[in-house]
Amino acid sequence: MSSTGGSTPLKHPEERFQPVAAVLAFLLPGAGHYYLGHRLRGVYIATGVLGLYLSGLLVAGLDAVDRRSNPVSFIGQALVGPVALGTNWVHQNHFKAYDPRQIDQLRSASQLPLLEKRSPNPSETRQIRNEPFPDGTTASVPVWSRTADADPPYEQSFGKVNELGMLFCIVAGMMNLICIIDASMHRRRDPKADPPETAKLDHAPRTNQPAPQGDA
Amino acid sequence: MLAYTPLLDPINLFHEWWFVLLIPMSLGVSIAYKAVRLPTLYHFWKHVLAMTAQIIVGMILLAVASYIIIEGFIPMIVGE
Repeated sequence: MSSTGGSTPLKHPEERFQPVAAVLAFLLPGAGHYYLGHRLRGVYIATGVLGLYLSGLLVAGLDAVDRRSNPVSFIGQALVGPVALGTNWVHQNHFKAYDPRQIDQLRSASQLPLLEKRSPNPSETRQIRNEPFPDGTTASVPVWSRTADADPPYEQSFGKVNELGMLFCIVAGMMNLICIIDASMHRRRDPKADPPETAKLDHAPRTNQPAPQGDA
Repeated sequence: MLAYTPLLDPINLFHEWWFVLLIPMSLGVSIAYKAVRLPTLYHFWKHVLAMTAQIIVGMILLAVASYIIIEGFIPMIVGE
């Protein structure tokens, strides 16, 4: 038996999957909504998500985003997109270094990826050393060097400050996930037909009274 | 206070007052959430501030309830 009439579609006809908007929303928070014509909404999303993310970095420093030390937290943080992935890359490749005692135990440069880089201690400075290995290979290796007047590139964060900084960045990722899902199913805004984004919402009358007919 | 480089070093302010950070966090969550959920952005910031206040009041009430349970209710049923 087929139903005839009386049924209303659950979705707006233009509400369909928007893969481009979803990808843009992942690449830059708010870009998905901006692409669909909801420009102010996109700006607000970027303000909220990136504001949370930057707050996390301001509170806990670069240690807030660390895929090696906090892999589970990084799953949430990575949802902020390339901003978080880039922060982690810079952290791992330009600010962390190897412990020289571990380097001394290696036999070949090919074993370097097996070691874990670490953050600096207060009296250490980062140096790039041309390290010879027992098997005859050499490699340029970033290592921590302990000196009296060392100036570490950054400080490690500990305790509540570190936890809250990480939490800010995780919450930013979670909020961006909501925004990605919303952008992927959002209707494209028609600037000619749709009201302005800041228009006051007209509520339908709750009773059966007829709607006002104008000034006539 | 040691030299602080923004985005690199941890800030040396919130070790004791960490819970103050609840305010900017709830503000950020409210901005992103309301930007997605509101049908139109009319009175956007009013809605954001209302949600921020709701989160903070909710967290305070949860803290009070936790305090009452741990300091009052549990010692009472244990019989201290």
